Amino acid sequence: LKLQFLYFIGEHHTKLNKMPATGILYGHAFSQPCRSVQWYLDYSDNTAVERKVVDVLGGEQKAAEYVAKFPQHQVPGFEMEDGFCFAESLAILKHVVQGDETLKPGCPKEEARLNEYFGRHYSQVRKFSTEVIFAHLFAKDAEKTQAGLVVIKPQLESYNETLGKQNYLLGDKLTLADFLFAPEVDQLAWVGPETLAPYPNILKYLERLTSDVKGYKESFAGANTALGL
Amino acid sequence: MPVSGILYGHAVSQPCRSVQWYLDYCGNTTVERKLVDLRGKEQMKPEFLAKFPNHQVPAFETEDGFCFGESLAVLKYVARGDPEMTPKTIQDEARLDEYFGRHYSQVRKFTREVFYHHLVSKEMDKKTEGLVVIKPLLETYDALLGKQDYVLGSSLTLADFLFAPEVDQLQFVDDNVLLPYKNILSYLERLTTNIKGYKEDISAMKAAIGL
Repeated sequence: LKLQFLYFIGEHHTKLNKMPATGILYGHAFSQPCRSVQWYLDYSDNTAVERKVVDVLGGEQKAAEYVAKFPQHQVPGFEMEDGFCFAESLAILKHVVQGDETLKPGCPKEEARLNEYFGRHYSQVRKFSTEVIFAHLFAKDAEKTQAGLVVIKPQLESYNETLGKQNYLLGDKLTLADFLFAPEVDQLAWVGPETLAPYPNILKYLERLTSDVKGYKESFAGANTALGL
Repeated sequence: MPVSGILYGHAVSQPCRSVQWYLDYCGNTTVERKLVDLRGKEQMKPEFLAKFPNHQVPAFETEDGFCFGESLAVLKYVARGDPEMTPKTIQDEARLDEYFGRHYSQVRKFTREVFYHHLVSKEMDKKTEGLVVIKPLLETYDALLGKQDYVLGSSLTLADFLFAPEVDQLQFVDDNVLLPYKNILSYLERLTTNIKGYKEDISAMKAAIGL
């Protein structure tokens, strides 16, 4: 009875949102946070969310029309059918996932572990992009790239160890954590094949996603294409 | 039923303050609070690492020994089932989740780029650079808090429990870095006057750093 009461509000929210999410997703295929959301939409066969490409390399995210909706000029951005606009991959991913029972945490502990990952994603995993990929692809600064690789090495070792014991980031079940994590880690291959070679469990994890999880292969291929790689 | 378990933390840590303040705000007396001696590196000792391999605070242990970290996770865990802190609409929920993302990527810079250097590393050059980095953020939140009482609108939310401990400590940097930001200062006064537990929380922080 206690558990039912505690989950009442969560269930109430979920029941209001059993239909697939609709609205407009603004993003770009190479952006890791955008990939997280786009991949989930493909995974869940959502064709109701319209996808609009924002030419981030051309600075479209700073154009007046975009800034009017998304003042922080970030992607991904999401616009609900009633015009309500918000950003941040975590917020958008959780919004479009509403009602998906397969990805809903089964208990408070699973929810705590997922929220724990969300925190670490921002404070640690995003460095894969901010410290390495940005320096490698855009700043083209080899020294900063190498310095970034040193920064993220402990994280890669930690996740490699975790993925040696379980199939997915938080256990043996796919969760939203994987949708956030994989687009950050797979792009390290762009620095060179030697970058992820020391982490065989991460490589096997990415192979598992490629063969078993709908939409992942296309997500990585789309990022490569968008960058001309 | 109120949440129970053990919260590991320290009064100077902003993420710990968020959780501790919330527990005081909601009158929770069933979560035991254990002080982790951060200066003495207690978080690196085997006993703590066995529970919390990432050696971070705040950290939480449920009654059956399940352990996890990250202020977002701990705060949401202790606040679950609290109708006041539960978003009422999907728009409210989206806006709160949006803030969570920005908290980590932007607001935490108040600590990482400025307060840490002021209090711990004493690297004044880095602190000076950090003040430049956070200026646009302070301007944004000052403008926002000129239009509404709390971070996300007219009601207190979990966003305020995260935001306030990051921004209020800037009052103790130099001659009060917040002086140009009148709306932020008014916001902090509102919290002090109206929100249970906040005044005690900031007093405890000041005591912990010797102010």
